[in-house]
Amino acid sequence: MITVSDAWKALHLGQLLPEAYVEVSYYITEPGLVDDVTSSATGGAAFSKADQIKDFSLRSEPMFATFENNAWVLNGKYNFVPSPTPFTGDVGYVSDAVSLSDLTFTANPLLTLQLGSVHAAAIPGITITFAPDRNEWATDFIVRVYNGASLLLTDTVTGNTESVSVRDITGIEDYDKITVEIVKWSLPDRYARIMEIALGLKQVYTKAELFGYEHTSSGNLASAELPKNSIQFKLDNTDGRWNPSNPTGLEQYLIERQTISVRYGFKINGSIEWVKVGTFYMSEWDTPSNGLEATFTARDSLEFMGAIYNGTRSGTLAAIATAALTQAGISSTLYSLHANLSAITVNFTADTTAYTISDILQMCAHAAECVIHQTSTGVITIAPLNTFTSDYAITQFNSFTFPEYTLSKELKSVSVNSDLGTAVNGVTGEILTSDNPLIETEAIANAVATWLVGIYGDRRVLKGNFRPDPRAEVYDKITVTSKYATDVIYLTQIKYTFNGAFRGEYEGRVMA
Amino acid sequence: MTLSLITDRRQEDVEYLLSLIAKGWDGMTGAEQTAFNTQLKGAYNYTDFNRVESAVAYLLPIFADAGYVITTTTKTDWVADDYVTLAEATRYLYNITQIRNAFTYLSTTPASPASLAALNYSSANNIEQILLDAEMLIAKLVAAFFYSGELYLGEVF
Repeated sequence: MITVSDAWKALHLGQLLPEAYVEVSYYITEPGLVDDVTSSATGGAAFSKADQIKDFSLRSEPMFATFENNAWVLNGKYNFVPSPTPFTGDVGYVSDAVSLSDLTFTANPLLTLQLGSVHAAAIPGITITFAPDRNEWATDFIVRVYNGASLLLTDTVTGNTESVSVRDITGIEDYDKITVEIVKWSLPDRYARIMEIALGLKQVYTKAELFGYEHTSSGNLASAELPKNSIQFKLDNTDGRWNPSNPTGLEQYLIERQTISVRYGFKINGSIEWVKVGTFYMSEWDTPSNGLEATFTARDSLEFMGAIYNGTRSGTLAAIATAALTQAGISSTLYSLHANLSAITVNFTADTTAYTISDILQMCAHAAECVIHQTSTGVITIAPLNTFTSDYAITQFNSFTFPEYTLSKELKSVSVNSDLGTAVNGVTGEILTSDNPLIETEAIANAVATWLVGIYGDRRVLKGNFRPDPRAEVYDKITVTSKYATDVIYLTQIKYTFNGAFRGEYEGRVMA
Repeated sequence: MTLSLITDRRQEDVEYLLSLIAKGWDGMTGAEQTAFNTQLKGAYNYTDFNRVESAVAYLLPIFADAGYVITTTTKTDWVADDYVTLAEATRYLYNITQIRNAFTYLSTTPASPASLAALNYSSANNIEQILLDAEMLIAKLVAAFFYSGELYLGEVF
């Protein structure tokens, strides 16, 4: 369940919902480039975090209450610096000195993005996000691109009036450092603030530009298959910007695995509360030459793990999963492994089967009685199902139809690895078999068999259509009220569509 | 001493300030630039903190003399370079809440804001209205002692 405010939860109990929003941010850049960037700055307030600015993160400024003249506006949007410091959370860069009466600075703030190596691929531009939540920006600034000590380009900007500035530095290749020097700010007596400097173009599509939007996610409670999480959106192409034959169009920059971030919002008390929904990666696009619409499909990072695993085949499940994730290029900050995986040691070096990275992750999760999913913040997590029943409920109030019950086949027993481990559920029905080369002992096989009986012992599967609170995610444990009963289910499929308002479909399994 | 506090902030003040910010300095007229250089009612500045904290510091000994001892601290030297931490915001509002809860107020006295986060013009007004009502009521309370009979033990009228 995505974390939201109490006000967000409360509004979903009302008859009418306020205005809803979907925002899709598409980053046209070299895939993986951000992982090679380190950001820093000269100076900085005590709570500044210049190391955060290097990526496209959809970071929202925390709106700290500071005492520059007339900076803390009494509009209910300001907050406080957490104490004590240091603290976690998004901040971005905040300078340590304010702008002077002529809007300049005693010492110009200088932000540097240093790449680990020289990058040959051309970047279509650079997107600088100053302080849009405050409606402030640098009016004058200088972008410089370097290769070592060689200055490749100087882009001097004067009279800027945008809080998000896109600089066209098309054609720049073989670079390893970019700096942004802030010369003048939009207001006197203000700290300079930069939320993001992204190497590439950031295209933000709101509901005004989205001709259609769908978000589909599914998961398997027994890790019998990897979860799927994808979005599909349609954009206006009447001006031909996505036309493949348009020499100045954007189609030329489309590359598989480019990053797409999505957030949902609701207008609450006059302002929009946003929640990050996830990070996706461009997978497919359909941009017909004469089409009025361009259709894009993006999936989460688990979809791109089809390479053959070449890591260790002995050790703890945690070590094997770590090797798989590392091979997939997932940094250690972007995955989380439950302690269950550290408690099981295996050795399948004799098994020469060519498993993919995704196979390995799935087998590790299955053997450790866990599920895999990617959180809304982009962290791949392998952990047991959450046992906490969330406060969210699908009731007759927010359902378009009563939930439909279907029954899976009656389960007699479970057999793991050809009866290495078994568990009995009843006297009739089918025998569920599970084969996992990472289950090597009878004790673990029996434990997994018992776990599977717990999942599939109850035959009831519920599905329905509802007016969703889009904070609900696959694997959430929620209550569903039908005409005659209230059941607790684990969500296994959710589909949100947005056409000015959210509509949802769900499916889940009842578990005792 | 009579407290001089601000309780007449309006939504229009907030909207005016937001409109100036949206224009940027170069987009403002000369008059707007002059106004922006003052401390506008649509914002909460360090001077607001100092005014409120000074009022609290002024009231605390009066409350104590009347038998309402409130143990707290005040900071009256906020400057423009400061920023508000969660701990300071909590302390700031705790002082107001303690004064508000000290005795029974007027039916028109606003409640103390639950949090200083998401402060708006109305909440800012309420904080200072509480202090004004506190000053007025504690003065009446002390004066009432003299109307209610003997001032000192053994007096005969």
